[in-house]
Amino acid sequence: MNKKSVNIVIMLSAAACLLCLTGLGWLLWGQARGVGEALQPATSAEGAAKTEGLSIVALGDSLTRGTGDSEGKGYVGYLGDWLKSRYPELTVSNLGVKGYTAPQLAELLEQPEVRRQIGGADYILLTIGGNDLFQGGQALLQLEEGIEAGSGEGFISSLKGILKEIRSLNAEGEIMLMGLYNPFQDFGESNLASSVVMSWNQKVWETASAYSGIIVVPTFDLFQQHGSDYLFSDGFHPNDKGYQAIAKRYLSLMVPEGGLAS
Amino acid sequence: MYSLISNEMTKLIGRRKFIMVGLIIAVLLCLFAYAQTKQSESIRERIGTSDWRQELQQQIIDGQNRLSNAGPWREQLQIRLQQMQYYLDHDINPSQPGAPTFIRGFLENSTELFLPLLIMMVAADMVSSERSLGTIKLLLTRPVSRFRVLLSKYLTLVLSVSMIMLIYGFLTFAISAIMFGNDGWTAPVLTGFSSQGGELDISAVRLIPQWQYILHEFGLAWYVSLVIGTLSFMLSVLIRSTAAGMGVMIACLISGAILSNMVSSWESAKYLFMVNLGVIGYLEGSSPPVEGMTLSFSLLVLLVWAIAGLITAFAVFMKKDVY
Repeated sequence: MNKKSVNIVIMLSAAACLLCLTGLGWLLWGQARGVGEALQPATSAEGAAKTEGLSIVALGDSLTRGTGDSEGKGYVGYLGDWLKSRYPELTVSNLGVKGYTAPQLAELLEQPEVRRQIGGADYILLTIGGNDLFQGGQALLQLEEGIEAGSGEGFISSLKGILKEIRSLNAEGEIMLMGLYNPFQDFGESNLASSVVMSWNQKVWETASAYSGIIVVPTFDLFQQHGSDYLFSDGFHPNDKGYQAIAKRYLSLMVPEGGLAS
Repeated sequence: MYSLISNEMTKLIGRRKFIMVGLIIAVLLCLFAYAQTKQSESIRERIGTSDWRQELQQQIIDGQNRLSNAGPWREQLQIRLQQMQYYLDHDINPSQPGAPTFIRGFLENSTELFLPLLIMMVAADMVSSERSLGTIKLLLTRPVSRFRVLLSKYLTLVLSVSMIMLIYGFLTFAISAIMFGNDGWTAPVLTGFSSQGGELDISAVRLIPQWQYILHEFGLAWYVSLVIGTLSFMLSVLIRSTAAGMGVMIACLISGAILSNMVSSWESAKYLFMVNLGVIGYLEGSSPPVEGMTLSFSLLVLLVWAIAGLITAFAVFMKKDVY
């Protein structure tokens, strides 16, 4: 090891030392003075996020998120997988949050980025109401009072607000709203639950028909027939099969021939 | 003095310390860079776009879904989500793809454990190896005071810490520039977030260019490394065996990493040096281990520990019998 290279190493180290000290000193000085570019108020790009290919935005609760699906895809994920072969440029944005109720969704719709995405979407998939109706599955025990006294009126007015908002952001995109199913098919009080869900769906249907380009996709019949096969072990959310069955139904509505890619 | 330092440096270089450190950094970097590419690829595949706003929005929503079963991490996650939302609201991309962003993230993740470990490789045997090899007698029989001998060793340590930072910086830059491209040095970064009881405080948020942020990070990382180096140096004086000294230090570092996550209710833990190593977190604005800790507080605690360590080291070295 010759003297020269040792000197070089020492010099380099000293330079690095000075550089780090500068960084540290600058930081502390800045902290003390509070300098830095002042932040201008939010200037978000309000323009629609128009992409080349087909664009899908999914909004709503755990059904959109895919709770109960072993891969966490949910019907949105399966739908995306199947549509991908037909539309390679497909973009799928899944903005579902577990446990969301209609008022919470309305709040989400106020965010600029969410609005931007909705503005550029070809399809807007919506699942909402399950938590408003069943209060997250906890109404299981108090089925009678829980549901009868359910906040039906409040929900419908929130739903109206949401649909109106989406329509004002995007006049052309197709809105697909999922109808509720009765998860308590195999329980003693299933008849009562079924009638409650049916009348709930009826109200949703009536509300949606007031706006153009909204499809309510029924799921009630799917779970009526295959209740135990399609439900996840929590007895409330669909399982893989259930989500696939729902996705198939969506696919047949979105692809003209109704043909399955897979 | 210079010749003493140069002598010490020659020993370090002769033992191929810097090459070892460089190799370790390079291997780990490749791993992390690869993991990073994979991660962004998988997100892109899922959404099908490279629009960062959409990606960020998706990340926020994913985070919100994890919030309900995040357990003890809930508060931190919440802060993180609010921050991301703030970035989104101000139309600033928090992770502009490119080498600078990678360097920023990598540095942030390596100050608490990775860099200190590298520093220990150099610092832990600085004195103890002389003793185990018996060369210390040669060193002390020279007509130089013990104080100057140890001081030259310590100054060499300061230089080698800087050298390791340099190697680290150079390698991270080289590898990430090859893998991610060299864009984004002037991209804006937000700093000055703080958290109050799980709520994000944005009153002091400032906008700085990314290169400046990285320079700040290097400054802090260097400071932390130097403190760890000083403490290892002290142990190297106190404990005859290098392995034992390193063991003690590693135990401290690991306990720090664990403690940082669980001391929120043990207030006085904030005076331990190992809980204060995450200083870059203050720049970023993540919630501190104990409520009420600030950047200057942590730097001060580290400084006190380092000075105490240094005084102990010198006092012991000058009094100790060498046989």
